[in-house]
Amino acid sequence: MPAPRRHGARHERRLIRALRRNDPRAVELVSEAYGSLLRGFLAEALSDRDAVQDVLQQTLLDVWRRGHDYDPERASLATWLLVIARSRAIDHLRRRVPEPVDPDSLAAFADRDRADETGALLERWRMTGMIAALPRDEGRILRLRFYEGLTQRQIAERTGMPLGTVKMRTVQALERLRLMLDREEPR
Amino acid sequence: VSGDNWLGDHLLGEETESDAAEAQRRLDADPALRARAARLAEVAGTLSELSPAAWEVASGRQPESSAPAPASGERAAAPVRRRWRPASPALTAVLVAVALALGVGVGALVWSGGGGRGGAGQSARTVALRPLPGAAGNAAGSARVTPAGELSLSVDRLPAAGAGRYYEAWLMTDDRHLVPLASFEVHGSGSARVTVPLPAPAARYRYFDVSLQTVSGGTAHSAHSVLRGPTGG
Repeated sequence: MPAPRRHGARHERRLIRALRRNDPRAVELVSEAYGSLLRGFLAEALSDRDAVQDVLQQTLLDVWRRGHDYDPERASLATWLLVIARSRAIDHLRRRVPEPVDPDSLAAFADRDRADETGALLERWRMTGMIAALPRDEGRILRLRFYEGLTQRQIAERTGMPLGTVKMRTVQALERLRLMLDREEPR
Repeated sequence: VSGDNWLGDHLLGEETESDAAEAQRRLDADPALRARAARLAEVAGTLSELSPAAWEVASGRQPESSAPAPASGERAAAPVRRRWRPASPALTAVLVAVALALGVGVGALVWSGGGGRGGAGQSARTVALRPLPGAAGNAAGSARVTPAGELSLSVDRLPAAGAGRYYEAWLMTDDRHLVPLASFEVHGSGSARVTVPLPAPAARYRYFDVSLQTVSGGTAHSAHSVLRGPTGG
């Protein structure tokens, strides 16, 4: 997954260099480029506004500590960050659950459900990071189609693009997202 | 329907009955095309499950549900890019934690090179302040607590703070235990000498710290420390 379009590949390279050097500035760069993504993911995973700040803090600290381990060949930075955020979110949720009556059974089920839920959520937020990296027109078309619920014809009317262009870019955007997903190792 | 447009119509369910039948015929006849359609349908399925907050983030906006609450007393203002002002309380805390994590090593290094003396009275000696990662590599400084209870701080080879920025000296243990001592500027010479009464015994804190602050960033520690040395406390 390329860097979100609003930051650019150069910013991404700078960020990765800072992470690998253990440079404290990496935390600020990560927060600047991916803070909204991480905060959004954690807000949905935790449903607790106060906890989001705490877990985001733990995530950023973990990111800084593990920065030298990041391998761009294995996953995009957004995915790597989301995986760390997911781990910290699960830790938080695990701490919050009261002790089960039968730790061997209930805890295992609770953990599995939690892992499944946050795993699905992670996939959705991975996609979010990828949409942010699409060409602007394609991202806009997807938003109008899948968020605002417009048909391709209505999108053409709204944007002033020819209907054929809307249709072509819709398929291109889906293909591009598919390609980004395929380039990363399965989680 | 030209090119791949029919596929988009099919995936989104925006085709006429006759187009749907034609699309199905094409897919039935071509396993590779069928596999491609299935993989794109999976992407479309995930897109349709994204939350409003996710779409806000994808559009480069801060989702309302996850935006950090403004700090008490903070005025709403137009977004202005400020280089050293952390974007959120979480980031501030992490930056300070990171700076401290780095500073422990630096502090230990300075201390081990300082003759190995410890215990009471150590704050009366001069301690070296060493540059932290991210600061100018050859910057240096020293801090000395005078018998009159004043801090005599000396810095050299620091870059000029620049417009809208200044340096601040602190007594600090961690992000919750710190006290500002004095603001100062470094101009072209890279040097500054500051003598200031200490508001608390230096030994109650672990470090003498010098940070680079922005005028617009408030009075809290910016989390951008440039020099640090142990108080011996």
